[in-house]
Amino acid sequence: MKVSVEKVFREEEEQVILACMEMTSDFQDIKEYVLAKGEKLVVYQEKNQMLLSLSEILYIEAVGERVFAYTKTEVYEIKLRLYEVEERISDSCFIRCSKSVLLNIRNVLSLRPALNGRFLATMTNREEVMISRQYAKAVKKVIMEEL
Amino acid sequence: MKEQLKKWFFSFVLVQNCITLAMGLIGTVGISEVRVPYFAFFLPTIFAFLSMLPDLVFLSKKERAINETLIIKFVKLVIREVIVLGAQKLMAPSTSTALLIVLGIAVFCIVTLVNLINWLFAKGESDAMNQKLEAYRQQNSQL
Repeated sequence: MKVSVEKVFREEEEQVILACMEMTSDFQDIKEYVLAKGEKLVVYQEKNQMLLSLSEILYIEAVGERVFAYTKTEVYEIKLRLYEVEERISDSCFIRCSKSVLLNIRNVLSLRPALNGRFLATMTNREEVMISRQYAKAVKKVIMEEL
Repeated sequence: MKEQLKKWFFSFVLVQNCITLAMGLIGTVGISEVRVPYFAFFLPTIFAFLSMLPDLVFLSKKERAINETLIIKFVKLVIREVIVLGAQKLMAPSTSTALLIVLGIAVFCIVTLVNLINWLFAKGESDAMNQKLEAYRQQNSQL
């Protein structure tokens, strides 16, 4: 695969162009990497340390003292506090949707109302995550104004 | 808390209007020959406030589980029925059992209607967000 780098003189012109005949899985991976700005989190699964792309994470949940990242099929542990994770990924599409959950807006398939001003977010793996009344307004603001 | 008070007031106005409508309907259908005094104009506000009292008591920032919320909603409905029927019996001791039953059904219908209207508003909000999410997904898939 050819890779060309072109120098530009204005920040607004900075971009990544993918020239492909077909959107193969390789190109899809590159696209997802670029969209996630290459951001990754160090996660653990059965004592193995690995780097997990933020775009793969559906949501991050604090369960007691431990924090877990949920992807479509896997669960990984993050050895950080939830607020520390939130600080690290503050520029990405993650938003606090309850006291213990950070939601990846990019991986939300749809939303529906639940009781008492809450919403239920259906993720891309059909799992449902509760958006609490306290954070519903903030989630709405991000989706309507910043997405 | 401010947000919840706003919601409470919105529901209060909604209940007030529903009670006015229910009074008009029950009166026209059941007791059209009875003439009411000017005091009757205050009744929707009084009954709306009384029936909304449980919401003020249960006003809390605490997030409850769905089952817990459903139980609280049912308890509130029972309290509302007791308050409204009790107030009616106190203000007009001669109220017939048939009218009390009609009132009880009216309270249930109004509570259901208010919940339905609140749900429809929330559905409108979620539909708008879903459209935005869909547009975002399409924009990204074209990249």
